[in-house]
Order: sequence, then structure tokens, then C-alpha cells
Amino acid sequence: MGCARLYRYIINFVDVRPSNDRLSVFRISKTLKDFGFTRVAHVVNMYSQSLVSTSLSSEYGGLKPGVYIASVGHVASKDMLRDELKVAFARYFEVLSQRSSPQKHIQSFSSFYDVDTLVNALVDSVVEEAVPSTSYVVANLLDNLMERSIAIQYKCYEKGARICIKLDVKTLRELMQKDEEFSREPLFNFCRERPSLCGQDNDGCARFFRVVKEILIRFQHSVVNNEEKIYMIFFSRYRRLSSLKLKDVIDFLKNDAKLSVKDVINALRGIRINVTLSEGSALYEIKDVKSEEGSDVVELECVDKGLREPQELRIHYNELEAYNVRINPTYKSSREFIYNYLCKYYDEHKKLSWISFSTYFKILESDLKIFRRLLAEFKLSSVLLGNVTYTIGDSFVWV
Amino acid sequence: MVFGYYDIRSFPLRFGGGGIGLSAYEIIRYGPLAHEPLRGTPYLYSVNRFKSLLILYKGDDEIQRLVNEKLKRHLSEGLENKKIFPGFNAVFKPDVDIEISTIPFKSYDPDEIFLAFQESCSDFNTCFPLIVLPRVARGDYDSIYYRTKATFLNEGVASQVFTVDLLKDEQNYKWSLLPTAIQIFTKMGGVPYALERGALGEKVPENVAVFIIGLGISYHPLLRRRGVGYLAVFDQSGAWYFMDSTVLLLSRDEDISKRVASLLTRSVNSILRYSNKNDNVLVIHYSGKDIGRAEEEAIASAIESAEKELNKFLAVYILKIRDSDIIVYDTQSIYMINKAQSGYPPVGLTLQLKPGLYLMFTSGYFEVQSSVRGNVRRGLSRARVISRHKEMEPAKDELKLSDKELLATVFGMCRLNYSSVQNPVAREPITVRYSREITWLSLRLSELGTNLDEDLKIKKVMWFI
Repeated sequence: MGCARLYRYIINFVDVRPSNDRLSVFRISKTLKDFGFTRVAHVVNMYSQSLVSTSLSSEYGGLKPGVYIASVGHVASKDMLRDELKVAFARYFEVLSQRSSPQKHIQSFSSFYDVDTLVNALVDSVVEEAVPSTSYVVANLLDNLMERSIAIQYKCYEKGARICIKLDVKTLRELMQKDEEFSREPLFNFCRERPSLCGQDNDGCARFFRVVKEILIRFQHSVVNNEEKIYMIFFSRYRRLSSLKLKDVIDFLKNDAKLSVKDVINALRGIRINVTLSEGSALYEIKDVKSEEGSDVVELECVDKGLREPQELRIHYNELEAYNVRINPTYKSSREFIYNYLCKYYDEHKKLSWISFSTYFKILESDLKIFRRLLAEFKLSSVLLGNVTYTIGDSFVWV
Repeated sequence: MVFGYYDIRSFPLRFGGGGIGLSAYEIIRYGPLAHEPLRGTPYLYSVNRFKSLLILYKGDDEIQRLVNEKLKRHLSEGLENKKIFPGFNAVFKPDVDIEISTIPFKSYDPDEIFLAFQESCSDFNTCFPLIVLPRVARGDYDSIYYRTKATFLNEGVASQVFTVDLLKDEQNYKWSLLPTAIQIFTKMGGVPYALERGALGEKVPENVAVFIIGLGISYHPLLRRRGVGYLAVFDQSGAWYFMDSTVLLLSRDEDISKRVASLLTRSVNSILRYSNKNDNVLVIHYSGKDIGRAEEEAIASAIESAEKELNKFLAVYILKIRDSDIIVYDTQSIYMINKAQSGYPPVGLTLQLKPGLYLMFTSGYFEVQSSVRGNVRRGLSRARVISRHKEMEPAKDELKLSDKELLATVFGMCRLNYSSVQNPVAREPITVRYSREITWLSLRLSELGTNLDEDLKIKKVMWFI
């Protein structure tokens, strides 16, 4: 790190620089029945306005266990903390009481606990501390803050990644400023050739697929030569998003592709689909689609033989949403169906990854600039946690 | 941040007759390291018990022609270019030549295929099935590949699959023969090659045995409540010992850590029975592919529960290995692709993020005999994140191995690659590479009624590669 010429490797890490050595935090040091550190941190992150938190289950790097809470955009007093926690827990219990989930054990304590008593007990255990501004908990606080600051329309999901941001071609174009950035970005050419995969048409490709750029980030704590640092790990890739709800597919075949009922049935037979049942998702195969009293009924047979009850399912057209019935594109029969009836080009996004490693890295450098502009949109160019401003760097780290 | 480099030249392979080399292709020159497992070897697990290799194929004209004119002939006689593949018996030199014959089956139905095998083999201990199947997506749990393998395994028979597509692929076919033969030999119970000095080399006194186990928890691809806890045991040279697995049910009524602890305990006792040394060391590689907080806690709790057994070792070290999205661009890379600098780093480059947390790059370039070669041409070179979990290790540590030495066990196990022998360093160590195959086939076996907690013969061979 430091002078680039001294180092050889560029890593997809970005420096995150704090303005002060110490960060003021509140640490809830005691657990209460039903409210372990993890749950309290969850409530703070989900339902408070200007607090962010993380939990630490055991001592680590000189930090004691507890729930670490930092205020966002200002320095908070203990009374402000108490007020905001009361609002957060009240909302949490309200959401729980409205939930139709069968998790009665969780619902029960929403009526058992009095918010004031609970929050007072938590705040009574609060210790006000000044932790190193590059300590382990800071990476988690930044992760949690970033996660909830991203506007919902940009959010995507990736297993194992903390923060996933999706950018379609239109958003990318709006965020780019220089010719160099435009010329580096292969998604523009791709969308010129395949506009329907980029949402610019109304055919099967556009209805069921969308190719986007995804940016994955998370914050990482590091200790090198006894010096603690915080980095942001930055990664991007292209992805084809699919929305293959069987109900929409049937509507499309009937209304847009103008297939007869008989042809729809023949097209769908043998396709493998995921069905959401109470105990999880299961793989079924479409055996038939029948018309009964003016409504379509999809007859399914479980593929995981011997594993799943019921072995056969009959789902009415208007129940397809409730069962979250979606085509599973992993299987040959489903892929052939997609190719023949929905979108011939659904695998074309793979070409976006046929680039050299050095080209990928250049694109990644552009993506970092675009990401910083996006942060400005989320008012996160500089992150003010308590008394410390964190500035995210504009280039990758050399090591 | 740069912690060091692990160089393949420091991890040569050992073959038969004392032969040593960097490339797995040296097996053609030297022959295999052993015809039976090194753990102590009853004849039951020796390659020399096999009399025939049965190629099972769907009896249509085109496949029959390809199987007879290519696969059977080349496995028996080798290719014209003997440097690429001189034939099964010529490479592995069993005591008595293994006869290679072809058996047609009616349809791609696992029961039909097994029936064809059964009708041609009076003693399953003496015949090995090589099954020709269409290529299927690896991610298809219900594919003919997994269903057929499970049907054979359920009868205690390990099998090898060769795809119809590969038979027809002029370009790749000839290069697939040696890796296929090596996998067959391994599944028969043989050891094709291992690390010459062991991953820890001279860091461990001669009177101490080191075992490296891959431990993991993985789930059914669709039914998230059904999973498998598994482990695979190797010595520090990468020589295979055994595997074990147990079915897990994620429900409130079952504590998965107890089942994982029981699996660990019985395996640790087996290791100590097999070891021919009084002093033993255990290195646990646990895979983080499918591991969330609950599974991590289950593994930690299982290790704690097995403490009594683990304390019989001089030391137990625990490394977690997982994938990442971390990449590095090497501005001084000497690996050129299409006359342009590739940017790929040297294989074995290791960075340190903090004490106990490392990034190891296993794809990139390497130098052998003054030439520069790469094991990646397209795509990214992503780091494996390796974290040492000292807090999970028993307090007893009479060997005091450093993190640098322990990371060598990961790199060393990446050198063991029986399925694509052209690649001298696999992306993942052999200890944790096969989590999907082990999990999916174990689940299928349990669906077929096999009790995985029993001492099955199949656990002693490396059936999952």
C-alpha cells in the first residue's frame, strides 16, 4: 500500500479512511431473556432511524462482547439512544403481531414484553466507549449501514455477499460520465445487439429476463504489522435475472404467443418447476394442464421420488402465485421450453464474461467510479458514524 | 500484506518405483505409487483383486461403434501416441492384466444398467464398471449420472462415468483417457501418486504421523432441511485413507452437532487404529461452501464434544477454507496469453489479511523447467480464504506448527488432482473439493435405504472423484 511503484499486485480492495482514531459507540453489555445480542442488533438495524449496530458474541481483538451501536450522521446521547430504541422495538413488535407466520414462540413475547421496561433494561447495561475507528466491529457497522442505505430498486441477492447492487443499462448510462467509461463497458454493445434482454422490448426475452451488472461489496477488517485497517472489497459481474413464474408464462403463451390451449399444454408438459410448500421448495414436473370449470389446473408429479409428500399435486391457475410456482431453468426440458417458446437468446449474457482478465480489471476500475457516484446518490460519499467520517477511496489498493 | 509464495517445485509428486516428478503425466513413465491403500491393506481393497473392466453402454449402433473402436481399444492398447496414453494395464501394471470388455444395456435407467452389470459379473469384487452416459448438468440432482452412481454404490460398487459427448469429441477425447484411467485406478483402491515429502515435510519429526481431514456440512439442493455431514481422510502426502458421512435433519428435534460429533469421534478412532505411529497430528480442513452460522456452531460444538478423542493427538489444527470474490491483478505477471500480459498472479501467492486470516491464489501461472505455464486462460483467479480457527483447537499443541506451515497443507492438497491431470494445482484442496458429490450421493444412498452410520465397505475407497 502507499506508493504504487513499490508494490506489484492490485487487489480489489478500496481504502476506507476514518477522520478520527476513535469512534464513540454504545455497547449493550447484557443479554435479556429472548433478546440475545443478535436479535437486539437486528431490531436496531431494521427498525431504528439513525442507529446502526452489530453484535459480538465473544471477546475479539480487544473488544468486549455485546451489541455495538453507533449513531448515523450525528453524535447521539444516551437519552436519544433510549428514545430511538423505544421506537425501534415498538415497530418490531408491531410487525411481529401482524405477521401471519406460524412462529408463535416469537409472536408470544411481543405481547409479553413492555417496550419501556425492555429498552430501559437494555440501556441500563449500556457502556459508552471509544473504540479504535478501524476496529473489527466497524467493518460490520459499515456493512449494516450500507445494506440498509441502498434503495430497494438497486438491491439484489447473492448468497454469501453482504451487499448486492444491480444496475441495468439505463442506470449505468446515467451514472457514466466519461467516454472512456462508455467504451470500456461491454453491456452497451450487448444491449444494442440484444435489446430485448435489456428490457427494451416486449417479447419473451424482455418479459422474463433482464441482463444487468451486479456490484458486490463488503467491508473487511485487516491487521497488518499491528496496524488495523478497514477496506471495502469491491467486485462486479454480469447476470441474467429471471422471473419465470408459471402463471406469467401461461398468460404469455396464451395472450402474446397466441398458442391454442392444446399447444400450451403440449409446450408445458415435462417442464420442471419449483413449488414452495410449507417445509421448503420442491421439484416437480408438469404432467398435464387441464381445463376444469373454466379454470386451468396444473397437474404435477414430484421428481424427488420417495422424498416428498405429496407425490402428486394439482394446482389451480389462481393458486399458482400462492405456491410460488416457477420454472427451474437448470433442467434440459425447461431450457428447451425456454428456447422454443420464451427467448432464444437467454444464455447470451455468458458472452459478457468472455473477456480477458486484464479487460475485466479495467472494467472493474470504471465500476468503482460509477459506484462512488451511486454512493453520492445515496448520500454516502462520506459516511458519518458518530464522531467519525469514513471516506471510501477512489482506487484499488496495491500490495 | 504479501505473506509468501507456495511453489509447485517444492511439492513434487511421488510415483511407483521411487519415481519423482512435478507432472502427473510421469505416471506413464514410473507407474502408480501403490496398488492398494497405504493405510494397511487387506487384499479386499487392492487393485490386484480386479479381473475385468466392464464398459457398459446403451446398445445403439453409433455408441457401440465408438465404444468398441475407441474406448475399449484405447483402454486396452493405448493411443498411437503412447506418451499421451499407453493403455490401462501398461500404465498401472496390475499383477494380472485386467481384461476390458463391453456390455450393452437397454435404456438409460439405473436399474437396467445395474442389471446388465450384474449379469456379466459373478463377483462384484473383481469387476469394475465404466458406464457411458450422456452428459448432464452437474447441478442436476436428479440426473441419470447421480441416480446411476447411487444405484451402484448402494450395492457396494464404485463406478466411473464416461460421457457420450466426450466419446464424440475428437479434440478432448484423447486427453481424457489418462485422467479417466487414473480415476478408475483410484476407485479400485490404488494410489496413483502422492506428495513426495508430505505437505509439512521436515517440519514434522519422522516418528509422528500427520492426517489431514476434510470436514463439511452440505445440503440437499432443494430440501434445505436435509443435509449430510461428511469427512474425507488423507495422510499428509495426500494418500487416501477413508471417508465417512452421516445424514442430518435440520429440525428442532435434532441437534446436528451431536451427529457431527459422533461422525468425528468414530473417524478419529479409526485414524488412530490405522496409524502405525504412536504420535499423531490432525489437521482439519473444513469447508465453508454451504456453511452458515448454525453449521459453523455445530462443527465447533462437535469438535468440543470430541475433545477426549482429539486429545489423543499431539496437536489438532483447524483451517476453514472458502471461496471469495477477491482477486489480484499482477502488474509484473510473466504469463502471456495471445502475446499480451495476462495479469494473472503466480499460483501459490498468499496474502495475509490479519493473523490467522489468509488469501491463497491457486489459479494463475507457474514456472516449470524454465517455461511459464498457466492453469487458467479465461475468467478470474479468485482467492481461497483460509482462516485458522485457533479458538476451536484443543489447547494441547506439542508441535507448534506455524500458520505458514499449516497453509502448506492446503496448497499441498491442491496438488493432488486425479480428475484433470493436466492441471498441476487444482483450485481447491482434495480434502474439501468433492463436497457436492459426497453430499448428493450420500443423500441418494440414504434414500435407497443405506444406513450411512454403518461401517460400509464403500467408505474405504475414493468413490466420489
